[in-house]
Amino acid sequence: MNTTHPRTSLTARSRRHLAALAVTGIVMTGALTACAEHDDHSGPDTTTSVTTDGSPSGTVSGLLSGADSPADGGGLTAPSTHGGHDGSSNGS
Amino acid sequence: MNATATWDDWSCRVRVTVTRPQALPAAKQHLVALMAEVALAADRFSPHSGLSRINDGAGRLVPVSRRTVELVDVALEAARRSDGTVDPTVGAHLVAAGYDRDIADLRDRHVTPTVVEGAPLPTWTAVQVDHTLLRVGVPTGMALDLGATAKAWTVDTAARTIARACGTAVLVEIGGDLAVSGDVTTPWQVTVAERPSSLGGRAAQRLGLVHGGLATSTTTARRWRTPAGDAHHVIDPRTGRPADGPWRTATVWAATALQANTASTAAIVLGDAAVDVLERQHVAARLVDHGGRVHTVGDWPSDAEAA
Repeated sequence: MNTTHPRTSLTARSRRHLAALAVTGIVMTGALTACAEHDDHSGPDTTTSVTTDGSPSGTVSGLLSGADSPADGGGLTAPSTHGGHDGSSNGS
Repeated sequence: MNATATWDDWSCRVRVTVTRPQALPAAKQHLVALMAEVALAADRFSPHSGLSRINDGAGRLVPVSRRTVELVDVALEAARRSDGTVDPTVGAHLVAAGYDRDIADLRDRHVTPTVVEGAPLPTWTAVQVDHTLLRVGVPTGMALDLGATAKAWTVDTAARTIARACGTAVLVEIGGDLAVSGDVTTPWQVTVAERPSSLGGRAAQRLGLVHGGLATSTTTARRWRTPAGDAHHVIDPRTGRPADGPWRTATVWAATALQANTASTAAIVLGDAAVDVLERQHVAARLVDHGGRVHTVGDWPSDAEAA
């Protein structure tokens, strides 16, 4: 015979659910912290940013690590004729 | 379809745009966390920040966080690379000019600047950094301000981190400093303007951004009134006073937002000499003079090309 009160069973399930959520939160926070710590000690990074608009000269590379990166040009183009707005550089 | 989150912080508009919409919540979380960390290290208006403790402890070495030391190093490197034109030891002169509180509380108010008799001119080489014990010291009478380089460093770092951690191309923007990271198939669509309110105005320009960073420095946004006329926040280290050159706004593209911000700030300070210096640095720039006329440097697309 099942002697567990339905309310007690529900409460127990809620507690397990909350515990699972707490663990998830800790894991996520840890992941965020780990990412941040990794970046604290990360050295120069090389990333290739590629954009193609059909022209052979559309492939560029840029170093994003900091002060030692050369300004290699080619970072700006005319705006798209299709519009759109992803960001702004406004004085502040 | 890109996804964007915008909000206000650091008295600025903050934006993060990602090419993978599912990554937006995590991307925003990364940026919010990083900005909180940087504020704890470098907020001049928080008495508990590492920066404030350095300034309050002028004359001795003050223990601070690793992040604070890192941001001081970034600012000193910018000073070195700009031959002192962008100097973080302008803190005391900013306060003397009237910028002694958050700009939201200062803008469009009348302030009587103080005259700091005998105060040393900004001298970045006088800053001491102990990397072993994590201590920073400035001479008595001197104060640090990391507002420019810390913001640009934050967008660069956030863009790089988010792209790697969240698996998305990303654009990060904080108050005029903008950095992108990750692979894109079409350029990011961005607008350059003197102030957010002038986005649709004559001095605004739309562009495509392939990679790197953008920064806009202007004397038109952070301004306040004094008996001698309007003052602004871009201090000329050579005089200790707000810069008084021909450019009211400078936007620079460079490989990183930090490089771009250093160059845009230097352009305001250098005035007439800015064009030659920017050309030697091989950066692209857009300068606006006090009459609203636009001058471009390097590979900056003309308004005709961008139209």
